[in-house]
Amino acid sequence: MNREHLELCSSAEWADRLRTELLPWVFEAMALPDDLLEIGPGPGAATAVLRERVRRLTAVESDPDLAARLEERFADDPSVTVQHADATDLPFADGGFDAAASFTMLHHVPSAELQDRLFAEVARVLRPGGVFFGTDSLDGPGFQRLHAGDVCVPIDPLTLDERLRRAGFAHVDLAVLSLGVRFVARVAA
Amino acid sequence: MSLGLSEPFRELYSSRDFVDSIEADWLPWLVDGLDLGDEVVDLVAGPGPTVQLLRAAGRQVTAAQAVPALTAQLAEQFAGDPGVDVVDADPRKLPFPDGRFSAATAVLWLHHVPSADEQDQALAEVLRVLRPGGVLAGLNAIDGPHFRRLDTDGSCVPIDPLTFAERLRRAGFVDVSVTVWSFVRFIARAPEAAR
Repeated sequence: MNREHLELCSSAEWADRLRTELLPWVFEAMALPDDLLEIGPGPGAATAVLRERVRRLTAVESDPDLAARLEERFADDPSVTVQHADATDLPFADGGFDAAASFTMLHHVPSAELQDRLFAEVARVLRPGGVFFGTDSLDGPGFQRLHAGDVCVPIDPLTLDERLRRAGFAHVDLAVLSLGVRFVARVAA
Repeated sequence: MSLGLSEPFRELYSSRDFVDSIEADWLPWLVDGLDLGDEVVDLVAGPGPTVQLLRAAGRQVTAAQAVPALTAQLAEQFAGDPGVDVVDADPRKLPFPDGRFSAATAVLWLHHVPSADEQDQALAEVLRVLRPGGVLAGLNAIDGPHFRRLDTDGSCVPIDPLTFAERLRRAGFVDVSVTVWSFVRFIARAPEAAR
């Protein structure tokens, strides 16, 4: 991530937009479970909102510095566990989570193949009937400027349904707003 | 008949920043690699950035205007340019004969057509005025909080990008391609006569 971009993701403005616009749109689509796995929290803007609404939150972050900072930030909250791990190779047993979520992170996974592997890994660690939900940004000129020099592989909303199904999800529901693409994908019950 | 426009939308379309961003970021992407032929209609020309681009490329342009609030501005902008013909036109019932144009552009206005049925009717009208094999190239805005803040009179019906390709095909277009960025690009063709 370039510095400007990391600053944006860490900013009060972004946290505010997440809290007031993006996450309410997601919560419209589904009720939050007790036990949630967050994939790629980055600086933790969504983590701060999610932890108030679930009983147990496990946040998996692949960047060691970001993971260390997250651990510090949420050190006094026993409901949050931060784990430094690669989401394309999750250190969890099959079927252990009710739900997994990722917010505006998938485009940082550096290839479509790795994104697909991440989807398959998430499907693997969800219990039968478990749900993977979240959002990602839409591509465009502003988005590309923000990601200049970054790893950035945007998610095409028109192929996401098929990719999630191929990764093992049985039911996929998508919506597109200017906020991004929202996905709710369930593994078979 | 014409399309209504809320005050915030009107301000947006009259703002230099907006027109600049359409010109710099979006129109080059829209027309990249397309052969628009010799006679292009820009449907609902609005503040005119697409007409400008088409003129710069040396094409004869019919600028179909459906927003009276912007007509004077557009007429003034292209006064004295014999390559631009500004025509008042409702996109639901175009005042052009069948098969007149080699291409049509439709940039960021379909959501101002106030129902999905009338939008589909507008798409069918575009098809009617295109020659066989003619190209439709356009951009749609995407619904969201910003869009809703602009739509103060509730007159807009935003276009769902996930179903738009199907709507173009239902209207009779072929070779449909839809790309979802923060605006949605669509490119489609009128069928060849023999098809």
